[in-house]
Amino acid sequence: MSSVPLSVYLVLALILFCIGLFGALTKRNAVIVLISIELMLNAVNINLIAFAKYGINPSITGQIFSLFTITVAAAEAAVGLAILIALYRNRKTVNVDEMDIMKR
Amino acid sequence: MELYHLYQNNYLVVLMFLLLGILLPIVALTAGKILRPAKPTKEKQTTYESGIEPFHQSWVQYNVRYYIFALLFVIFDVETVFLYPWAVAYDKLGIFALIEMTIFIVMLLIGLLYAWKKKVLKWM
Amino acid sequence: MNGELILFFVLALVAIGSGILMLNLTKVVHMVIALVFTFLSIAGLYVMLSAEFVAFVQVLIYSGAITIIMLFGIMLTRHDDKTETKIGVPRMILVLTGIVAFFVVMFFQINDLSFGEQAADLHVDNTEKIGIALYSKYVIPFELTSVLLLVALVGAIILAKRDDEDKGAEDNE
Repeated sequence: MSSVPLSVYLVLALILFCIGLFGALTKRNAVIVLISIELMLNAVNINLIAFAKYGINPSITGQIFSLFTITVAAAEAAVGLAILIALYRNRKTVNVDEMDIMKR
Repeated sequence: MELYHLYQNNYLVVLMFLLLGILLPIVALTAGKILRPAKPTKEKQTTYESGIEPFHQSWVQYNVRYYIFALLFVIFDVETVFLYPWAVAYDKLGIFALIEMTIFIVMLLIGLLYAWKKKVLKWM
Repeated sequence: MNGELILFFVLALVAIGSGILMLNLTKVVHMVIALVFTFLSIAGLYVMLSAEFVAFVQVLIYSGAITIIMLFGIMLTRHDDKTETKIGVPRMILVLTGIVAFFVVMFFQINDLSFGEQAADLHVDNTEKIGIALYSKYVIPFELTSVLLLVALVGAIILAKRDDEDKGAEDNE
């Protein structure tokens, strides 16, 4: 049997999630914010697959769910970047702090 | 149990290939760097040795068209991912899976037709 | 200390190391390249968790497609400037304390978590198992995925294409 315990995978996913969260909250370039969100989604995928192997009632379901998550992440990246390109065309900025036209 | 070890050992081969693939260019380039003579002068280090001086950033603004091709690539890449398990398990699934996959592909075909109608597939 | 544990620590180190490198690099393109290493080592972790097919999907979609589309996004927007992280100090402190608090709380929740049992045969015919479960049990989510992809495709084309139409209209005038 595998000798790496479940909690180590979960801690790794937690660290990656925190790195992604930090990047998403502090970076100002919107492309980097999107990339950080991808990193967070990846951390969630690690959890799903770790539980598919080690969880209560282990089965293939976790892997299928992570497939769906990856699909949604790809669609999200595509649409997010399209929005960013449209915004850049109109405002000439990708800086998240300058996207405040609704606040004014 | 033995099967699990077999599975892990199979990936050991993959790991070896990966390491070889990483090491080969590194070793080749480093050996070349050590062996070759290096006498750089200012003339030699210009970007175009006998051309004009570069005067602008090498980055240029790309056309949005390229993004749409990348987008189509991503969407159909995801489609491929769902085709693989379908193809592998096809014998055990029966006719219903064929219908499911037909619906799936028709859905994405609608997207492709839309892109075609919008003339984003044309190069010029 | 056996081989599996060593491999896990190497992969985890690469994943976390490139994640932190991504936060600290200045050029956007370099950040994306650093992220590719994170994605690849996560694929290695999936192999260790006997999820071969998902590992392959990870390489194909994350380090292939999503990285490519991110690079296109960088090329199409302003790219020559360095990403400055000049957010205010109070906000930085707020964010850091929030994340550290989250980390500590979650860490103590999951630190000793163990359910005792392991799936023994997930790696046998992994892709076929995924296929059978996906196309018999999860039909509706699968079809919804196709709708999601269609909507993403159409929406992204509409959003990205607008200026070409304007240009075409100007040419016609």
